[in-house]
Amino acid sequence: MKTNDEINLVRAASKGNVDSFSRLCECYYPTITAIAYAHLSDRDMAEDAAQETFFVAFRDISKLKSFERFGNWLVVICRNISSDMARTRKRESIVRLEDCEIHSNEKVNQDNYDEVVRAVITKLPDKLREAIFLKFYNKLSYQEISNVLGISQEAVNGRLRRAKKLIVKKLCRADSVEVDL
Amino acid sequence: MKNKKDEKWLDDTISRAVDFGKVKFDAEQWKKKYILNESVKHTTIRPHKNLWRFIMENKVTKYSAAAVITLAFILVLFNPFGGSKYGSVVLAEVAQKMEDIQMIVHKEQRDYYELGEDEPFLKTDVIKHCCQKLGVIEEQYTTEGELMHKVYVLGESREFIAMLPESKKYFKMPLREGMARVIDRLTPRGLLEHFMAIEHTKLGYSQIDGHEVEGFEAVDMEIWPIPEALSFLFPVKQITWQFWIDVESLLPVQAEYEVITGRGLLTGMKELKIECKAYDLEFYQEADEKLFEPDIPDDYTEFKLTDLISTEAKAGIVGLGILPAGFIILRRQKRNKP
Repeated sequence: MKTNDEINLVRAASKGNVDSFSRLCECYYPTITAIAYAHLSDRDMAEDAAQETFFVAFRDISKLKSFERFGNWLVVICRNISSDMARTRKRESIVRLEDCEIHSNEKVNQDNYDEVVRAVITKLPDKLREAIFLKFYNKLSYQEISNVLGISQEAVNGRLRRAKKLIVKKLCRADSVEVDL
Repeated sequence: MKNKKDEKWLDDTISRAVDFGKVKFDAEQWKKKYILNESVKHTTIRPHKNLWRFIMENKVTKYSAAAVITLAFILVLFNPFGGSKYGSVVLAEVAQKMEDIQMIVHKEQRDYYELGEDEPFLKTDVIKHCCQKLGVIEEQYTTEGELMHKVYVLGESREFIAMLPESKKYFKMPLREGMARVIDRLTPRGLLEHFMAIEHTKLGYSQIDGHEVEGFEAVDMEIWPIPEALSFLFPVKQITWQFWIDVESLLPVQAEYEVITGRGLLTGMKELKIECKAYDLEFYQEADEKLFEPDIPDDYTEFKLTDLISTEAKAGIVGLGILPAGFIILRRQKRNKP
């Protein structure tokens, strides 16, 4: 969405225009769901968190001072709601890394790899995990990630590189792969 | 299994791993559920009225916790276990530049959040004096300018002293061997060296107060080596640092750090987020020794854990039969303002 279009929609939404707000929701839904998924590792909960985020945003949009930062503001709300939801549910990771330990002499198939990588990503620090989802799930550019997270493109690059390094390090520890970065 | 793979393979693998399927926003359903149906219960949004709130709404408890958190911060920020192994040329030059500086005075905004909350439960302003030889003094104020605590971490006498004006209490603790080693790192350079010891990334250039600055960021991936004796009190899970260095003077202009904690006794068994911004840094080549001589007023009495419990609560504890480590606050205390 063009920035000016977005600002106009945010302005209209701040005056109570539900349709304008719905259009913003449509635009941001995949991104906000990805952020929520990064915290919750559960698709249904992530979608609930995204919808809850939009409800809180709609309720409080009159408090938003800078319309340009709407996306980043949504992300902050989403983080808070996701953290709340994560705390209230029983913690159960999808795949425990220990359970996926790979021995050097075992044949590892593609599904196992993906499960191990998923488990490793689940254990990344929140900010790195968010960057990973925005880049690899939403396929956002560095510029777009930078706008959504409210950080510089260099910081986006740094987070992605650190995340990848950590993933590789942990995969190497599981003796499953070697990657040159 | 050992395979030599390229980065594209890693990107593809990550893409597969994070793919939880396409999602699509259903505006009509959302409006029906959240906007039109006023009776809907949003179960994930609810007030957090709990023991933590009771603790943090009690001024004595809140201020005392904040003072001890300060000690934990000092131990964490100047942890003695780090070594320099990732030092970049720029940061090494900055550390060199700071070699001759004896004291830094700076202000700090420090806000405490319960993790997941929008609003901080405590917003504070801090003035801090850090001296290479004499130690650290920190004064923490409420946003209304009320002094919450004054803390001394003294280098020569190896002592931690916290004064709490609200309750007219003071707290003294000798810094034992392991903790005393921290004092040796209580230098501006020590802080930078710690930063250099963890993997960091460049944030690029920016402008702060008319200075052209270069930023550096680091995220601590592992739990910090807080001394064992303190980890149950204040378990730090992650700290994200940002340093902004003036490209001309090679001195820090601003530092920001965000601390995420686990559940500890001093966090009220809650996860906390603490956001800090250090700014207005002033550098001195000499330190005023008189500043580092604590003057505890005569009417102050020594702080004990039982001070955290109200009189009414003390009376009720026996009946309730619970006393979790002296941190029970059963009744909110309100101070009558004139």
